[in-house]
Amino acid sequence: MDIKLLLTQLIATEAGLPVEEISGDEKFESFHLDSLSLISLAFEVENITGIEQIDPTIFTEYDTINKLTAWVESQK
Amino acid sequence: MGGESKVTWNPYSKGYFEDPYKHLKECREQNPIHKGSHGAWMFFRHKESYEILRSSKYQVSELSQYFLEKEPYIFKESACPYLSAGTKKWAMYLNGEDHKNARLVMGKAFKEFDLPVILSESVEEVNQKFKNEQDFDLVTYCAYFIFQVIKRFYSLPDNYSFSQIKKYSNMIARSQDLFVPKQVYQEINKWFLSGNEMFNNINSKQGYKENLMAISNKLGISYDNEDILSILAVSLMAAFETSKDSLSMALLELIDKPLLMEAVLASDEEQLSAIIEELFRFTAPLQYTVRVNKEPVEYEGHTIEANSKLYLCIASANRDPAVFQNPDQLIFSRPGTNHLAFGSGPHVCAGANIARQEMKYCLKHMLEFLKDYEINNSEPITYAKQIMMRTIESARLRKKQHALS
Repeated sequence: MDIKLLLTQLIATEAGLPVEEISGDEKFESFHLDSLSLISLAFEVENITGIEQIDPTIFTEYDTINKLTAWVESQK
Repeated sequence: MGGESKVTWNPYSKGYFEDPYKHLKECREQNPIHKGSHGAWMFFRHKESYEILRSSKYQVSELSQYFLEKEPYIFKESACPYLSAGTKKWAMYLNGEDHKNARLVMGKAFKEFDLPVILSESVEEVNQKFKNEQDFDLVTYCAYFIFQVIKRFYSLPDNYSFSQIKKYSNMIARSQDLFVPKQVYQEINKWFLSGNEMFNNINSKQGYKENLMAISNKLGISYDNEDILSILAVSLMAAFETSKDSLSMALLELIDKPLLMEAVLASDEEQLSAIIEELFRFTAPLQYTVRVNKEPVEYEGHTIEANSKLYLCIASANRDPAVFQNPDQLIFSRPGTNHLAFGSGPHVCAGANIARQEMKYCLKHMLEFLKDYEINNSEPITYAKQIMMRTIESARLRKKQHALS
């Protein structure tokens, strides 16, 4: 599973932006996602990757797609 | 404030759902007022929670309004958003006249029933249903009891099953929880709509729905059908969830501690009242309640700007050693009843009296039956991943060896 591509697509959908406009090093805050969006994103990542009970605050600590991809990979 | 090394509230910390009290104790001792991991202000001591609950400077957070703002995102183009409408008369999230009216109508509508008779019939029915069981789930036992109570209040048609009502209640209760994703809100929305269908199918001329309509008319409070459906939903959910959770947690403690169970069974009326209050303090399912400050406030050097959400940790306040000696022990002779299991002040739980009556009329009858059972340790006790209301999902019991013959 290409985690980076998956996260890019999910964030593009949540932010209402084309995938091409989403950079892996851009901070999540620049996509103007509110807490409900981030929680919903975490839920989707849980469902797809099988990682149980993702702390929604993970997006604060791993605040770009590249950082979050590395975190998801490390959970496997 | 130099709080780098202090603990920060995080319900996703390891083991939280199984036992939140360890983490809450750390928060209360190390960092009693702080911004939690989700960015809202958290209060862990009894003192501040009690003051805030009783002060007119704070309001409740309006759930229906929150949904109104979020529904375009949650549902996009999909049909029938009903979260805001479904919660619009939930008294615990209303302020001012709206709050007073909803409480008044609900209170009067419940008063029309002979509660002791309903409770006695229901406990008799649940004990009959489980009497031949060697092994069963304590949560199902408690849920079935409150299902019997609700069936009588609501005059529910027979085609609505126990499992449907249990699921309905839990799903709409989750609308109040923290960290709920839109996917779950969409599922909750479906349950709201199916509940409306159920309530609209109640044709009895006697029952809670009829009472609500008659009393609101009599008092000149103009509730339309949607308002009545919202009150029916919250009343069912509040009665079902809190009774199931409160009873299952209290009974589990007593089954686990036979000496305390004996003390309950041997208690007189006055002792039983004190025992019930201590059980509420110790096992109350309500873990947090939220208030909003109308003006900026200052606590221990933190300035909290107006219209902030303050999460008051009831579960921690009820274990605060500044108020309760040896707070992590059930002490039936504990003096006073200043726990916050039902909140306090103008928004004190509207069902508190019903909850007390339930315990008064049912606890001993349930224990007389359950004393022949023990916790089945071969199966783990599981807890729901809910934050605002603590919920046991499953706690298996088995008949004691000596009671098998």
